[in-house]
Amino acid sequence: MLLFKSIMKRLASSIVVLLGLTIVIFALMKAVPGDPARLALGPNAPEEVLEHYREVNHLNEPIPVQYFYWLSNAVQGDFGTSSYTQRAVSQDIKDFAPATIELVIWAGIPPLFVALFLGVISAQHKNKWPDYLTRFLGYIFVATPTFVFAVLFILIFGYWLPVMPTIGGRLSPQFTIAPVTGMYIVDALIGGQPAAAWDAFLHLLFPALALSLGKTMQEARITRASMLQNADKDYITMVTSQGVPKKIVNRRFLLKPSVIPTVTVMGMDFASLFGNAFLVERIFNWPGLSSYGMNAILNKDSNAVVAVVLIIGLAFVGTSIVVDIVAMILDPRMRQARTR
Amino acid sequence: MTPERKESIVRNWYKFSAGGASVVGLIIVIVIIILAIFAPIIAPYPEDAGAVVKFSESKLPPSSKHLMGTDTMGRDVFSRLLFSLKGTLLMGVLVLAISVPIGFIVGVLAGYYRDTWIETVLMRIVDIFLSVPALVLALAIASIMEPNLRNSMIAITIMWWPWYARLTFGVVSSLRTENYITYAELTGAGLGHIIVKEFLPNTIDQILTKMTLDIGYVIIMGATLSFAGLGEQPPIPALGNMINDGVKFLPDMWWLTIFPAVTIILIVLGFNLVGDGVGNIFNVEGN
Repeated sequence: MLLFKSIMKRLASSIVVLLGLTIVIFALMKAVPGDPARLALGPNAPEEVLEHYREVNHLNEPIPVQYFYWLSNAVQGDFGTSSYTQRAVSQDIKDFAPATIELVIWAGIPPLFVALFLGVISAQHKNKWPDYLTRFLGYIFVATPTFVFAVLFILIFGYWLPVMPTIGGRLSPQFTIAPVTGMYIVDALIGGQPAAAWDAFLHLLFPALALSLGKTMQEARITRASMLQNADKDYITMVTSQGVPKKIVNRRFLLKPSVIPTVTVMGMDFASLFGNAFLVERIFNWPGLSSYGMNAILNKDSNAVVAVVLIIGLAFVGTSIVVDIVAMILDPRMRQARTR
Repeated sequence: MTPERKESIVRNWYKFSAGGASVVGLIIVIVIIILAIFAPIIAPYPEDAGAVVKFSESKLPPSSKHLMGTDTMGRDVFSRLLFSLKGTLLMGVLVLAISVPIGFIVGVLAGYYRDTWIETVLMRIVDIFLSVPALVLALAIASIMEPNLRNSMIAITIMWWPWYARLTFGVVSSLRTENYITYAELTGAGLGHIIVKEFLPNTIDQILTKMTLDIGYVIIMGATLSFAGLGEQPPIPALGNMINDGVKFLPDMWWLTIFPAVTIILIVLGFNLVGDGVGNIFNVEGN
């Protein structure tokens, strides 16, 4: 019951935050210099056409009224027309989102297990070579911006050791995959095309690595730190002194409390993948929401920018709710903290 | 210098240098700062920091004459790299110098007025800014301004203060009901006094630790904006825009990309190692 109440409170405050985000984004859109009608219709549009556009889009109304028009459209999924692609922004988002979701899932979930594994190994071999190696690589990878990883991967694995398709994208042109889930690897396997699945995997591997390596090493570091911290606690000394084998102590008593901080951090990292994907998608020609958003930003396509930022905010807030719920399930103490 | 002061410096240095990695970081940072300050003297071709064209020397690989090769316009990559350091360091320092005090004040007010509408309003605003990945909004904000170093700093600052507000709020709201705060209030201390004399000394350790760890992240974000074309504009060199220029000429002219990339990694590594050492002094866990 306490858990349910905590979750409801969490949801309510998220709705407030998301509404606030829409105000910030709308203000940002209004701050774009220049006449929005002129930006949408081009430099040669006659004045009557501009005036008609303003009338239809409520641009002559006061700003707060414009906000409510915009918000009620946005809630229904209507974000206007993209001045860059000349299509409905909502349609663009529908087309580009699956690629980003596929990338973010692969960059977010498998690395978590790698991080936990490395953290545990590092803690169990404290100050021996596996620990030193993990920590050394950790320092280097955490210091590397994702776009630098992306560029270095293209140079190293695209040209020097050519294992990666350098043109980028999601799939080589000789393959076609029947869409089922929108995620190519899964769809190719469903459609019985192992060669296409492998090709899609090679396209995905390096963008996913570029996105995840730094975060993975940071999560490994946090796992290591909390393992070591908990290993000194009295209850561990107690179970050890009762003669419980070290393996069981580690697995049953040490791992669960030590994983909680990693799960919390991992959730935030997972959500921030959408942000870092902006440049990685662009560098690898990955046809996703983030590269669409990046193009929109560079072309001052404000309807599209606003929609992408809002969708990413939604994904971000949604992820952090899920993470909080997972943390509450793992750790009963969190339920108390959240109800205050 | 009093003996106690001397002893505390020795003790702090001992804690900072435990493990040795932080000393390496400190050396990297000091070298980078020196290179940034003396770039005009050290750079073999100082004029190459601007819009210079030397066709006879273009596209040369690294050699003793051009340590890191030359770009398509014949400019010395090493010289341009040295001149880019100043903007990179300024980015890290200025963004924090502005966003940390703002975040501290917001956090301390929200914490002091805990459980009132002031806390609700301030912390919801903080939550709004933390509800989108910082890079996404920073890119969007930077894109509506003229692209240059100053505006990219403004965009990052707007996204950075909420972290400090949340950190300060966490500490202050738990100290709020301590007896010594109540005592200060009862004896007539004003809000300003309580903030400066009671809350600041209790939060400064965590803030300083987070700041030293954050310099690296701010630099990463600045370089990312610059890479996207929303930072320093050519011909002024910046690590991000140099990499962006170099990508078009991969793999043949690898030196255009590799050297700025390694430089960013080294700078961020240096600051992160120093941050760990500072965390050890104050006994604060990073992140």
